[in-house]
Amino acid sequence: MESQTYTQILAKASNNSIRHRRPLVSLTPLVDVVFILLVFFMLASSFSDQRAVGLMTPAIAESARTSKTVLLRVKRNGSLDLNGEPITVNQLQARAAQFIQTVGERQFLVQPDKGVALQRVVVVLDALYATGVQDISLVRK
Amino acid sequence: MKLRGVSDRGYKEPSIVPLVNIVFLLLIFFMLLGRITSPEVLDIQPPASASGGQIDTRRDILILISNDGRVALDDNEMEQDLLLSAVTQLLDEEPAMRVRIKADAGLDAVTLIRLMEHLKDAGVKRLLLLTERPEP
Repeated sequence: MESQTYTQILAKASNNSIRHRRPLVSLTPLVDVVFILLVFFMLASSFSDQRAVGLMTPAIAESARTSKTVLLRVKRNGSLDLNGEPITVNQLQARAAQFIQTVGERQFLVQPDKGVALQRVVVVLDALYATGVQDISLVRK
Repeated sequence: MKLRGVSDRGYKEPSIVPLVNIVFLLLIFFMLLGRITSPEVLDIQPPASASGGQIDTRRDILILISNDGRVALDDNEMEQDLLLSAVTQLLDEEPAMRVRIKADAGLDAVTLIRLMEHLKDAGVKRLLLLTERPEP
């Protein structure tokens, strides 16, 4: 025993510990907990990016209806007409911008027919907001 | 008795450490990027829109209206008349409160406009329609 050098003892000891290595704290419970947390966050969190579109309530629009308002109808088959003139969504931006520039019209009334899905109306609102119109109200017949 | 080829020394269990690393990364990802929301009483898929401002964290009145016209105030489904009187009361207590409407994309727009007209009678002047940013 005496003849063994310190390094030899160390080497033997480490050899020993490698062969029967047992972690001081087991990793398994930790992993369990982390998995449960992961599942919780995956199920409970949502990634949807919500936004908000401002609108005036309709009855105000009704009373404030003047010659300066533009009426945009959304028909049941999805087609649009702007002050009685048929138009597509792509043309809408240019026409709306024109209205604002020439006549100084500010208020837009969007009037969907019965049975028009909200998504279709929101597409129209998008186009109007993109032109810079601020005052948009929804009205019904 | 020991089977040939399966010795204690030769067999090595695959290490779970890389797995744990990845699970940790996923956990941090979901914790940081997801928003924890409580499930709502009505199943609503809001319409997609490109415009519209970010929602701030101000406390607003939230009205839900589902595809089949059922309405809910915050987390309580109720009749429309009840909802309107509740909104009137809330606005009486705190007139600065805004009203958010979360409506289903497939809802008939006229139904929504009718609800908005009633809200106007209840004293709401301007409201916010919740939409979702479309998937890129």
